[in-house]
Amino acid sequence: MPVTRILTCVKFVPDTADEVEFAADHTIGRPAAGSMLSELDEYAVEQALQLRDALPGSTVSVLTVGPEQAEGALRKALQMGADEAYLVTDDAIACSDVFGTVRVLTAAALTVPDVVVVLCGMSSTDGEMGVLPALLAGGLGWPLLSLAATLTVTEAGLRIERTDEVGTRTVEATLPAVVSVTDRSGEARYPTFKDVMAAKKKTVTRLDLAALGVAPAEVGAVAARVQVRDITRNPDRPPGRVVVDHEGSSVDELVAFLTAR
Amino acid sequence: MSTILVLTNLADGDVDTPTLELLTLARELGNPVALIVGDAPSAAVTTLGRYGVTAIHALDCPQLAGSLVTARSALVADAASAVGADVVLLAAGLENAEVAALVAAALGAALVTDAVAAATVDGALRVTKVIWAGRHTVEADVRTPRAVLTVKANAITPSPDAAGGTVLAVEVGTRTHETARDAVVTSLVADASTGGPRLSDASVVVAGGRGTDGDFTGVVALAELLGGAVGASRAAVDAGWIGIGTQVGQTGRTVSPDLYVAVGISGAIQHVAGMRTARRIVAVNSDPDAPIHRIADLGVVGDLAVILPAAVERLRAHAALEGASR
Repeated sequence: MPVTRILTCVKFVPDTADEVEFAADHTIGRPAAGSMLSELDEYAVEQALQLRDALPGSTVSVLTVGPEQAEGALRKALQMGADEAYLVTDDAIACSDVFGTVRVLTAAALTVPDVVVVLCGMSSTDGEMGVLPALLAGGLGWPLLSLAATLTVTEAGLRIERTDEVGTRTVEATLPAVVSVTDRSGEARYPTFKDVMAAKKKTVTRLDLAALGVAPAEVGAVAARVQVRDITRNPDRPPGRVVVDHEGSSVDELVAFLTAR
Repeated sequence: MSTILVLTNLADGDVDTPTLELLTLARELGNPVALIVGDAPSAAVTTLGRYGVTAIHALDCPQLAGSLVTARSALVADAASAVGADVVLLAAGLENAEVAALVAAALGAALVTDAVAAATVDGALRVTKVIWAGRHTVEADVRTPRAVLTVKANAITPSPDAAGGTVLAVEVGTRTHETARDAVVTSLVADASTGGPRLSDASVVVAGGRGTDGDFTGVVALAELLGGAVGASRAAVDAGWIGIGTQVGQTGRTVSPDLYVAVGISGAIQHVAGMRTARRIVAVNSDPDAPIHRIADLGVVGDLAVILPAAVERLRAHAALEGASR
């Protein structure tokens, strides 16, 4: 029986709590130290692992596009329980915009065999656009089940519940499909020592643009649709005033603040 | 002169505030053309005229309700091509980000989400946005002939066109969307509209968190008295105290009000991400070490069960006096 793959796309990101340094050409490094599996992608890995339980004969494959050190994100996902990993790395991919990245991911989802579900986090914690899953579904010609708070296997395929400005919708699709999950989809599991040891034996396969059949001209800075001209650090909010209340002593000041416009 | 297509959103039968902001920006960039999905009520047509729109297209599509974002995106992309739009503007939001991206993909256009400003500089469209948890402002030039932008609410001050006022004829059309490989929407529960302004464009937001212990009456009363919208932290929503539509934060709504009142909210990074651009922030939290006190302009450390009712009473008396003196 052929293996069916649940391909989970993850990103290796710098810690947004840290200060970031931009180079003169407005790029950032993705240093191995201080970078990590994007927190919102942990939820995608968790849902992939739960989906594996619900789909007999399936495998969780995790994939990332990035420099060599992005393997760190894959290691974390393997420790959580993913079965195998793919690192798409190629100098030409550096400085890709979301369209370049989607070009690569679309090719990867079609190159890795037997993918029936592509799972993503709802957005990256550094880019924060939240558009990649929709573009990926478009690139693949597969249905989009994005911003899922719940993910259920049905007879026909998958069902999600999604909440946004429109309201809460139930959405269903047949496979293969692209799914993105939010942080409300379920607590991401913490690897045990046994999981960490087991992860060491799992494979990370490297793929480059040639292996995916993608031309360098389609990705990277050369294909980017927007060019950064300037980046400035915004001043931090000036420290505010902290008042300790004693049985309502602060109410006058609070009301004055609320009514001052 | 560039053609700027504005995806027009309606509230109570008229153009909503975020759309007025888009129209104001559209006038600076070129000729604004309005796209309404569905019917064009007469109040909206009048408002669009006042804001200097040069054409109004009302397009419908029977497949919209059953489609997540693909039918809507295809409709907008079609309209953009039909009118020869150079720029497409949408209000920022979770769904609109996806719609904007799919429109950009269809048009081969550049995409910038959550823009706070845009202008033509040396012949190029220069777009401004804020990144990295609000710490950096980026200016970037579009390299493609066309661009799709989503624009953050409250980033642009809406102003009608001094020369505007023509009541335009509405071009009506219908489009059919091929749904063969689409996901299907099988149910929709619309956001329960509470009285008062919508969270996304309210100028005052009063938000409650874990510290309210489930009692949102003070938060709601305060919001009403200040003419604001009610918000909540993830903890309050998860505990079932209030609906998910009120959640402010990284994975909820992003708000940019004039005044943000955080009641019983600790101020975790995920929450702050959704409200850090508020002009003035006041917090009530009994924990002096709560991170919210570090970003608030006024942090009150105390028991909200004492402070909130007292503040509400003071404001009610204030309002009564004002009412009496008219």
